[in-house]
Amino acid sequence: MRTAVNVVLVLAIQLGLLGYMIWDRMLILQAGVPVELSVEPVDPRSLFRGDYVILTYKISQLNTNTLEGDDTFERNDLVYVELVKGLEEWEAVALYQELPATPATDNQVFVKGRVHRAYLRSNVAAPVTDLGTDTPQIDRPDGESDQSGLELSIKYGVESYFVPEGEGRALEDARNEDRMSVLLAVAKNGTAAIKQLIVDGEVYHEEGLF
Amino acid sequence: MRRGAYIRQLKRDIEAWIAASVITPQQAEEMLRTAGPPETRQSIPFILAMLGAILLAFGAMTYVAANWQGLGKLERLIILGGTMTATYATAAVLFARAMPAYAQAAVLLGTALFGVNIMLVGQTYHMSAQWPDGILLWAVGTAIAALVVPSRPALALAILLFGLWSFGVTSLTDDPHLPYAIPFVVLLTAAWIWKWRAGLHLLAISFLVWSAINLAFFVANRDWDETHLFTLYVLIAVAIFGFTKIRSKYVFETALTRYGLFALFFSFFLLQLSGGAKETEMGWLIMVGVFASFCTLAIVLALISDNLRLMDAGVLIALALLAIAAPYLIEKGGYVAQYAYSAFYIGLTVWAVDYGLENDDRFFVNLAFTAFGIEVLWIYFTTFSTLLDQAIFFIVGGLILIVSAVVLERVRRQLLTADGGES
Repeated sequence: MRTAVNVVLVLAIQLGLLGYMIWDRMLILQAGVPVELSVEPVDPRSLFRGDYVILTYKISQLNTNTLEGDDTFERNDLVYVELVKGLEEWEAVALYQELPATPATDNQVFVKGRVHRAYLRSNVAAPVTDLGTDTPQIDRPDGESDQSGLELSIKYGVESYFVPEGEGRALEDARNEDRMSVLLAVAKNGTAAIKQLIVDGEVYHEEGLF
Repeated sequence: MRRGAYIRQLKRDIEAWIAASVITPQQAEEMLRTAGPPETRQSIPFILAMLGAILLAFGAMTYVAANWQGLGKLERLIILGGTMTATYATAAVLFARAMPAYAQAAVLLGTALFGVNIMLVGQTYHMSAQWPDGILLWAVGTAIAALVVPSRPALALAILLFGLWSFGVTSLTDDPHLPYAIPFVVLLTAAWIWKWRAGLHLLAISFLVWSAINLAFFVANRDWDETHLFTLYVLIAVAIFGFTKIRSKYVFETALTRYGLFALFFSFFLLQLSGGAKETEMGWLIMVGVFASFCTLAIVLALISDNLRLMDAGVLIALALLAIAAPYLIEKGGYVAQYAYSAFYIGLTVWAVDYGLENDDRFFVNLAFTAFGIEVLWIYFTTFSTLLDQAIFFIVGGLILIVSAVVLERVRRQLLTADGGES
């Protein structure tokens, strides 16, 4: 009989762990700051998780030289990206290793990510030949071209959007025609969750609490 | 000798002793009683129940992949909690009705469903955190089930999941993952207290694999050569083998010694394939010093406890010294040095056969012959492939393999038969 009671205890603990996952996500969706970002999805397939679309944002690839804040990051480091609402969309303006103490304003938010890759860009401009150059150019906000700095590939935990089987292709088409964006909810600690998927300016799917 | 095999052998001997009037039937009964009941075997229904649980778990995963889109979020969450609750409730009822085998199967299914539910919650809320985080949560929940119920199948799953988690973190960060030690010690303690041999085997294998992978990442981060890595492997293997012999007649002694032997063969085989090293850093020398100290300590303690022959100690010391010198010798000696190390490897197989015969352990003999066969194959493929044209290469190779197989098997049987006859 004691073992049977233990089994019930295990069930309670495991349901508690799952419940915490759900509760944490619900809090973000309910109270997080809404941030709309344009995306570039592709359509792979996962064995166990059905169809999903990989979402790549402009802030998924950042260069330390074009942004304020900290410059030193390594693979797997936490990074807090400061986003400011521009005239058209939210833009990254700074990178920090720790969450800044300054409270975010309505038009400012810090998103927590993790450095997936980090590599240096050469300061020396690649020689231009008849064949051209393979070195990618980075456009600074002021229009100058810069090839230096630390190039960061960042994951925010909102790179997958699960869709019913077969619908990934339609979303990929929307991507190809630049018709898609995502509305994120960002919590005060920087954790982001997908709140809405927007296609052609219309809400394609909204995440309800239940 | 395994306990079940020992009891069966004892029964055969007792019948012969009774027939020869060496002992009376009453004495025979007393002997069998003191030897204890035969080793309990897992019943067929238990095995079927476990396989059924595993199949149901895979079915649940497939269902998640194929049918989730037809359900609303709340419905999905209800199904999640409902299936898990029903499974654990079934386990509780089965325990209460004294059907532990089926109850354990239900617990295993419950832990598997817990993992499926983590994936499904992640999918429902579009979470794409680093995958080892999800595995860690699954492993923690499974370990809790294993320890609280308690459940051996859940413990086995937890061992695998924590190993997978550690590998995931290592592959993402490219760094050795030391926090793995925490769950490892907890699970090891549980398996040790329960005296669960299968669990201890699983933990021993997990630890060997974890050590090999993490040391490889450690060496790679420092841009050391592969020979440096394999030298450390050999030293660790020598230390493991030595430490297994510092006491005699303890639980798991035979198994640990066999793991030590396997580690010796595996590591030295890799070492003889490597190409030496141009430079050696102080950091590597310090590590060699530390591991060599462990080897020395283990060998000295084993000799003091009279559980290791002088010849065995000599072989272990020789292996350690050859490993330490390998980066320099192989680099300078080239092919000659590599063939010399191949010869040493074959010498290792000869020693293992001798050790196996001396200690009545057929595993040593069989592993030594397997290792010898693999070495012969490697030498053949790496040398004659450049000397002979393709057709002759395969014909000659085939003939050599067949003749070698027949000869080796005959020698092995003769050795084991001769040893059995003497004892």
